Amino acid sequence: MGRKIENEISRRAFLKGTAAGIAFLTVPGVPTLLRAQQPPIKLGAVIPLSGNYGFLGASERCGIGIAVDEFNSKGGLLGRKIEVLEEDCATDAPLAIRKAQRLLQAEKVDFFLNGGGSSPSAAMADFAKKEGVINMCIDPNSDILTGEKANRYFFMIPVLNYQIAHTIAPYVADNIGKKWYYFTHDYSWGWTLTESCRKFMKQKGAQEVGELKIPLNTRDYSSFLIKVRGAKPEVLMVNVAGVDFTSMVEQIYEFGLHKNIKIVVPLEDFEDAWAVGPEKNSIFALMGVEWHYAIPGVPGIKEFVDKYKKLYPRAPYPCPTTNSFNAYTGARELLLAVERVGTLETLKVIKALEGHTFKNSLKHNPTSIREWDHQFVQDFYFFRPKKKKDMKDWTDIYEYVGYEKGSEKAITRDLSQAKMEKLPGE
Amino acid sequence: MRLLPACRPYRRIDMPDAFEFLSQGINGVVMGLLLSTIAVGFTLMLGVIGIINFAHGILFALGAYFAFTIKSLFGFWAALILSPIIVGIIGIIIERLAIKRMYGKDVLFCLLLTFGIAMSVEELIRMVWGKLGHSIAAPSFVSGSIDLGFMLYSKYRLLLAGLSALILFLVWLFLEKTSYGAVVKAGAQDSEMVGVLGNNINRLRTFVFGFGSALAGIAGVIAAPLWSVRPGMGNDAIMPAFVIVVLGGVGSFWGTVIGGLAVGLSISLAVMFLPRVSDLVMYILAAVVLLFWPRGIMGEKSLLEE
Amino acid sequence: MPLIKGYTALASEILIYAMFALGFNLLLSYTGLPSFGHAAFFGIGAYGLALTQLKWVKDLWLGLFVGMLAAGFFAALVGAIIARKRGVYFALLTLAFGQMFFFIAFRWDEVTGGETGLTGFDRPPLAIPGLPPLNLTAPMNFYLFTLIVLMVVMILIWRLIHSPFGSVLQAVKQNELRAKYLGYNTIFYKWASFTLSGMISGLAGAMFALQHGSVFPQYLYWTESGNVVMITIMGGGVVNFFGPVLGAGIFVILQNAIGALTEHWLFLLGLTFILIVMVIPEGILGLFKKTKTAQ
Repeated sequence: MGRKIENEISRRAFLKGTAAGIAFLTVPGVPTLLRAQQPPIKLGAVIPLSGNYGFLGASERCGIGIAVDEFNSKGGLLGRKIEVLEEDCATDAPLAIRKAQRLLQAEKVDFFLNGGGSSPSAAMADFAKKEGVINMCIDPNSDILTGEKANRYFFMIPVLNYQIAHTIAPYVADNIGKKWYYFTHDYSWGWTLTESCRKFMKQKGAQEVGELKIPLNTRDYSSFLIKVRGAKPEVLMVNVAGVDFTSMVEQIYEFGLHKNIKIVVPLEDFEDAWAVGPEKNSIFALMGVEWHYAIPGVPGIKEFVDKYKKLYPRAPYPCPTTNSFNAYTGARELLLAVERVGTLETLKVIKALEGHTFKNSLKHNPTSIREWDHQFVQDFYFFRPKKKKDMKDWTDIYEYVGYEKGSEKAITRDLSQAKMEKLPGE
Repeated sequence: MRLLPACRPYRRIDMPDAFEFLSQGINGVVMGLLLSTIAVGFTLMLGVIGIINFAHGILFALGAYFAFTIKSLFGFWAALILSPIIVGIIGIIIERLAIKRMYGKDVLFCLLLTFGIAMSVEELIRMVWGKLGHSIAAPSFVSGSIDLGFMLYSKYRLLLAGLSALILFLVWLFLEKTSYGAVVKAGAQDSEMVGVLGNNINRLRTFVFGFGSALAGIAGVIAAPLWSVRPGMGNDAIMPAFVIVVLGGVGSFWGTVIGGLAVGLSISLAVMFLPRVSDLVMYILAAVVLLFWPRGIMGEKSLLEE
Repeated sequence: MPLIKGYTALASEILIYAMFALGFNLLLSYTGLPSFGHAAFFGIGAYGLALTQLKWVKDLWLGLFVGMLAAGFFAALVGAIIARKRGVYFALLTLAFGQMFFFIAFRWDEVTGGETGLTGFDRPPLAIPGLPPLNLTAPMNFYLFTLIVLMVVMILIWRLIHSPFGSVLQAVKQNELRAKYLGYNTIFYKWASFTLSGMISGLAGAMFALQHGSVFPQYLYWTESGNVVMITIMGGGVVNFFGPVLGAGIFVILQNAIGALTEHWLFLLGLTFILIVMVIPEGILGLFKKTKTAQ
């Protein structure tokens, strides 16, 4: 099935499929046809459309677009249409800042959303504080972003490493294996995830037999895989993401590593699974996933999926993913907060977001925005690969296993490094 | 300030056993053969024409991208044959239109020219094939792993090693056993002399540039299933090519092969002990080699030092 | 145009790139050595300043000084290894060393912050004796400060070029063998020029870090080295002392203007490079020179 997808994609690419992509882009989000009496409210979206996390940008754009459309189709926000201005950060921190700078100075955007992994996001956290503008951060998972980088202007939607480890590690130690080997993506996200996993691994009596730090942009994993095999672990924790992850999965499959070792990925993006195809993705025994449409028994998911399919029939991914979901949540809650206070004033909107809880979280439990670190506290799920015969279509690759409540598993205040500053006037 | 990340107290440094050494060694050789294939075109261009061709990486990338497209239409073997030919032709066109105007001028201009070409063609690739990468599946008869007895290894890598060795062998055959090859080989050492001896220097240069481009292209084709196809992939090719040429000696075929194998093996070694320095290790190796062989292992004094 | 609006920062960036290119040009046009790895020294200067502000003491002059010295130190080390070479081989080695420094910056997380870089340091105030300290956070103040630093650097380089030392450099460029026969230790002069050039580039890098309040390993990537070469050539650095300054202005403005127009600006930038090299290799100021100046 992977090959069919590959040929399809390459044919489209060759026939300049990006032209079709541009066509779908102009549907919502750039309302040139709308005649607003007042100037539009501008959202600046600095998202990864290329580079290591380039796959996520397309999904994020859709998520933002759905939220914006929910408002625009009802007449806008505070009587004004909402416009989204996008820039590609290419998963590159200095580029993200340059683009954000341009959006702020030249385009005068009112609020920011950003993605692209931990490095651009850390830079955007500093940027938001320095410029005094709100930034909703929609895809990274590194704890430092609500730790030392936390500040009043920066809001963190995705689930972070501590919570991911707290959810996955105990389950793996109890159900999958006790001798662990770690692949740690060699930057802050990878390190913090492995550190947290270690902590909970030890609590459950499992032990570490080795760790390899995987440098960013590694193309060739053969040497690493050979090393792992030599250590003979029961479990391999793959704390790697992005394009590096997809290369690794393919090579693990090639080397047949999964035949003797149970491989766990604490955080997988659907986009990466899609890129390798369900057959290769079945090397995993367990996958931690923030959100997927196959989560059973949660109201609102079906409507969200339908909206996605209606607005983006030609999107690269036929269904919404974690990243569309997080982008949607971030954009929607920002806009709702503005609506609640009836103004665009940054300081008032910040206060409207802090401490807010909402039930239509598209997860089992309501989500709340914690005021002391600006984390969107939400549930975290885990799945296993679905057997081919059970798959309804190509996107149906996850079989539901379970979840843990965000309020129980997210990092607690005593362990966090967050120190929020006082806003002017407090 | 910790300097060595591996020396944290709670982590024991895993000593590799004999099997791991052997496995990593085989892997290093496979990688080394691929790197040699990437570098050999570059060193010929440098030796014969005297230019540092920054566009070598982008020609490599074009080889991979054309293969990506041709493979989806006509299959892997068609891509293996057609793609390098197309890239070779593009190389000849570049040489005729632009590079040849730079001969005789300061070396810097050619460097800048090829730098500009690399920059714009990389963006052109983004415009035509999109910004995101694509993975290419290995041809079906070599997908998956093979049991070598003491380890499981990837079938495609074995094919890759075989193809690289074959390509290098054919290049060697050409340089050693054909008369035109002898001219090229002589030109790699001393291009002025070759002109004085009556060979058409312009035709030689065009040929070598086209040949070198085709070599870059075919390296791209065979590397693509391994490294996947991305617009920036040329950078992963050109840097090792530089280092291998410095290590092995400019214009030397065997220097390139030895240099490539040395780099491949040193990367494997680094992964065994200290993975974080694995991309730094080839530069350290080059620096050490230069201390003892200032012109590279098999390098000879050449006009390049003017 | 909206892109230029409110952009004193852009003007400061032009001045910083001009400084970088002037330092580079000392090596290129006055000593005849093509370096394709100078971004390494620019980046080392930037990291030097950042580390001083974050780990040692928040002081303006100390930060700049450390950045400059660190760059000079590493330039001296590299220079000692490569001063015997010239031409293509010299360029090849500078490339390799340049990339080596990039990988060190990219991978040595404990010190350089790795891919995330070092962020979150402000511009310390400028202490003027007898007057209240000048707040450099304001873009205009920083611009004026940068301008003064650039002026000083330019005067110093000018004096150097027109000194006996500078004459030897140019003699080495014209014909190293002859200079050697005249009794000059050409290797020393090449090394000295390389080191000084590295120091000036480092100072520019430190200023750049100061302007942005952040440093990233991308500053050392080989494409940045290529950019400074192009800036120098484009403005006419090979024929005119002020060429690099003009080149810096054109480059920064072009990059921003084209960048705002299309996301494929790299294609146009690459084409610009190609055209300049093929059509006006002596750069813009080269179009205006009347006679072949005996440099």
